Amino acid sequence: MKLKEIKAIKGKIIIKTGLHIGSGNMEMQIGGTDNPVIKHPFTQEPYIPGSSLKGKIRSLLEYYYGIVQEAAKSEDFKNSGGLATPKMLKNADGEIKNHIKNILKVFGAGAGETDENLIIEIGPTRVSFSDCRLNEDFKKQAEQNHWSYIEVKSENRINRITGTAKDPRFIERVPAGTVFDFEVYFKVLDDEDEKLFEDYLLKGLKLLELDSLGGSGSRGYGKIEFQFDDEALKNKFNSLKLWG
Amino acid sequence: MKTYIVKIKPLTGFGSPIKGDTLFGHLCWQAFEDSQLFGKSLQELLKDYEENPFIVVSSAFPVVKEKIYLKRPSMPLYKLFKISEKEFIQKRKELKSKNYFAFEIPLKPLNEITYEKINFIEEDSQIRCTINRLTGTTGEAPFTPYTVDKIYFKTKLAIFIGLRQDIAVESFKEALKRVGNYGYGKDATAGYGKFEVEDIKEIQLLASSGNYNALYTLSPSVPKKEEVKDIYFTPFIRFGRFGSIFAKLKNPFKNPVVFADEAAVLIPNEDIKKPYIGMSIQNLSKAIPEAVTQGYSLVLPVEVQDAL
Repeated sequence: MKLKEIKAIKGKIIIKTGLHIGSGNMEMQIGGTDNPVIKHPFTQEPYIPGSSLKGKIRSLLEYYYGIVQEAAKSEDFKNSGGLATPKMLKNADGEIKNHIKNILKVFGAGAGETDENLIIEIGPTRVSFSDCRLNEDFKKQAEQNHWSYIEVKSENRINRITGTAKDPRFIERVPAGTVFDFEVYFKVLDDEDEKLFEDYLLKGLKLLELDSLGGSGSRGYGKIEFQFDDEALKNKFNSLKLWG
Repeated sequence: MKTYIVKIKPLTGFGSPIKGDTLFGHLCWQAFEDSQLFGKSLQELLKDYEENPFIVVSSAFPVVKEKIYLKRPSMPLYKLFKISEKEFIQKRKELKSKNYFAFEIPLKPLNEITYEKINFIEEDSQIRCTINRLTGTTGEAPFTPYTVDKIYFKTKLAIFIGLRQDIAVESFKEALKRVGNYGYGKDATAGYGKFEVEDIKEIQLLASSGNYNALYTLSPSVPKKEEVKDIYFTPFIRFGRFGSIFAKLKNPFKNPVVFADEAAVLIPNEDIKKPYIGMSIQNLSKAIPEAVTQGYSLVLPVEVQDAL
């Protein structure tokens, strides 16, 4: 194992539609919303946890490469929820085996594996996401224009028979137009890893742009766009084909 | 050994506090992954670690208004505050809360230093979950949401570094930069523990006090019997575990080590010639017998009244 390169992806995440990454509501506040978004504890500015990005991208890739479909075939793997695991890797074959191994290489395999050879074959987790802070230029702009970092969206359900509202609720969101800084590092440990960067990490980011981040994605929340600082990477990303 | 102070700027929350022994482990992994980084492989660097450590790193300390603040020495309070017994009893709780002091050269005797109350850490927690890909929801284990603790540093941090003569400071800076980019401690790949390396300056630690009779430690350490006449310390038990690929072993845990936590004050047996004390800790794990932990600590000479 030799570290050949550490690839850095730097850029911005532009929020296209209101983003709700819930904080789990650890405390109740008088007049507070029931569904706050996650915020920095002393600046109270919203941020995007690296774990949300990593988890969502990994899950999209598991769908994309047919791992979830494969897991659904077996009672054993149904219980693991369609995640790529070392146990699944041992039982799979063909192309799917390769995809499982690569996902474990890029995103990590979790603890508790007994097979030392397998641990060495997978190696250390290649990718490292970072929590994303608000972009400094955006913050200045927001301060000048008195923009809020948070919006509260009210929602309800209409009773089809009476035509009136039910279950009103208030949900905090990070408003559309907000800009976060984004940074990901990727360790290239052998020649094959070069390919993993494109096929797993970049494709994962592309899939995320088409899907959504955070909660209520099917209702239009959490559409995001990546903007990369590096021109070559930007072109590569734009020309990346997911299907066909 | 040349000594330096490096300042870092935390960019995200951290899953683990920055302690010398853990940071040493991170730097070793950097040397393991890239054998060119320090010009030698990790095996070579660790060859004479028992006698001549290639690197000794301290824990991180807060930087407030350009001043580095160090932990109040782990000594009885009456040895640190020059006040009457009556006043001491009255103010005991207030004095106890004064937990840091500004690091200045030359350092005043420990009972003449002004101790201050500093709070540079904010604790927070984050709720996490794994989504069952088949149902698209959380649910029963292993898909139940769980809480992960996180600490935020409100200030920049300073770390003291000792480098053996053959270790280039630039190599160290690059290694630390990589640790900062990839993340330090728990949940690094999921966004925690990122920092930026700012400036690095050489400092003469042994010159910090003109008239010293004791040594103040800057990281958790295991002093050698022969170098200590007496010691004041708070025990710190490290239930360590391996990082990187070994974190995935069935048993990634190391044997527990009892350290004297940073801010210990030891009365040395003889004049100090090296800017560090302590030893290399071995026999940590049956799974990986060659593993070592930093039991060394850089030291500041200090003056203690009525040392013994």
